[in-house]
Amino acid sequence: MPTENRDAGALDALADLDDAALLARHVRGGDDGAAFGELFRRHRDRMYAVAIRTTGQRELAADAVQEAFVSAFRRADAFRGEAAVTTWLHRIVVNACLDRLRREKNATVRRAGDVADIDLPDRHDHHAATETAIVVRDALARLPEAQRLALVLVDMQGLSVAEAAAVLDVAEGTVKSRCFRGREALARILRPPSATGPGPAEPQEAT
Amino acid sequence: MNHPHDDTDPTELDPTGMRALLGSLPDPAPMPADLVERIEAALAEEARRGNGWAVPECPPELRAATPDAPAGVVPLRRRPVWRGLGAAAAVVGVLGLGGLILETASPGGLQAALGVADDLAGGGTVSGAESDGAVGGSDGSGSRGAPARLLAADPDLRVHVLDGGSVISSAELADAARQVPVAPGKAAPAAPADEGVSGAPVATAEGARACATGLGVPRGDAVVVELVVVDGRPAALVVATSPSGARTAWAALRTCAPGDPGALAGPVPVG
Repeated sequence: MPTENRDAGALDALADLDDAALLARHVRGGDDGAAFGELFRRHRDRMYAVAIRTTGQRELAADAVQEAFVSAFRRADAFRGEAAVTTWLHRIVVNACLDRLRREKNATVRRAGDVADIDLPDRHDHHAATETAIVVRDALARLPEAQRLALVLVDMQGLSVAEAAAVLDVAEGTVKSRCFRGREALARILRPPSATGPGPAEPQEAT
Repeated sequence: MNHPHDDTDPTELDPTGMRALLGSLPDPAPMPADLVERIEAALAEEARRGNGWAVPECPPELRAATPDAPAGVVPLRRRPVWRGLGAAAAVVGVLGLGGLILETASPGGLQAALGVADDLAGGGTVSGAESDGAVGGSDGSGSRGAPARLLAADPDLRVHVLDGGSVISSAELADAARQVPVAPGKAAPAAPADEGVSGAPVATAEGARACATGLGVPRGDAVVVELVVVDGRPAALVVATSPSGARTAWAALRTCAPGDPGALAGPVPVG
């Protein structure tokens, strides 16, 4: 069927395009949103992960990531190609998460309290690992927002310092500093009580 | 989803071990299917408003319940990741059977995407297709074929409401119900409903679910309500699909409500 072949070929061709080419095609329009749909398919899980890790709350993450993708769909022409598309998407998602968090009353309390609500795979198969994950994420939730974001992006999402700096719109040195301070603070929180002396100091907000 | 990176800057060294610990944490589960569906619907709405991505998506819980597509029907979306799901094929299959075309603000987009379905419809798999808004049924088989418009959809309520305009008799309820798509898609309403239609309680997602409840449809069943004319009376063709895929149909007054379902015909099984 010629129509089928033509259509199938067009969609297969999308799968071969890199992210920047897909976004450019979306900006040009006339493709029924197929190019952006391919971008969504490629990156939805990763963006959902960063939203979960940033907000610590499933519902909030879902709303934020939806808002982010719709925003990216609308504002694709704002992408200048100075960074990778994934970096640009990360930035939109992180900003959406922060916006949601700030609109939420008592966001800090909810973040800490809802950590166990995060989807974790293999909960029953790897109980100990899951427990560890919950403890670490609980500790992560106690960090100042700036440090937590830096650790989420660099240590958990695997972004380079440069990419994280672009996402957070800060200097690379600032990201490194936040990572360093965040790791130190996390270590203090997670240190066994017998090793803490007078007790762990609550991490201080750092820029 | 933890990605080791190649930053070798000494300041990235990890004397605390926290970086390694964070990197070893399990990834969050993939984006849930209902969220994927929700975002795709939101993007489709964006496309409908001007950028043109308006491919209807079949809710995952309905995929298994979708009738077999006719031979030769090809998936609406042929991206490799969606190929295996069979959902799009089912949607097109239903479209081929029912001749359903959802009107959108960018008809070139969606309707072009439905070109295959149009081909099938033109190939004789649709019976009684007539021109726009035709009201007839003089051959006794009822009148279908005019584009059905999606009036409302609510994934949480698992309800779709269509303005089909078909004219049927209560005796041919099952035949008419077979032509109602199991999952007509999640595209948002293309335009405000006509005055006479919008006034009908059953024309809203909430009203349609309430009507179905009044008819005894379990909450877990997916429901498609199509506004039709039955035996000369404005009515709603209510088609419920159970999780096992069994379909049952009723005809009811458009005022159908839990306390007063106003059943005109049914229930009848839809084979």
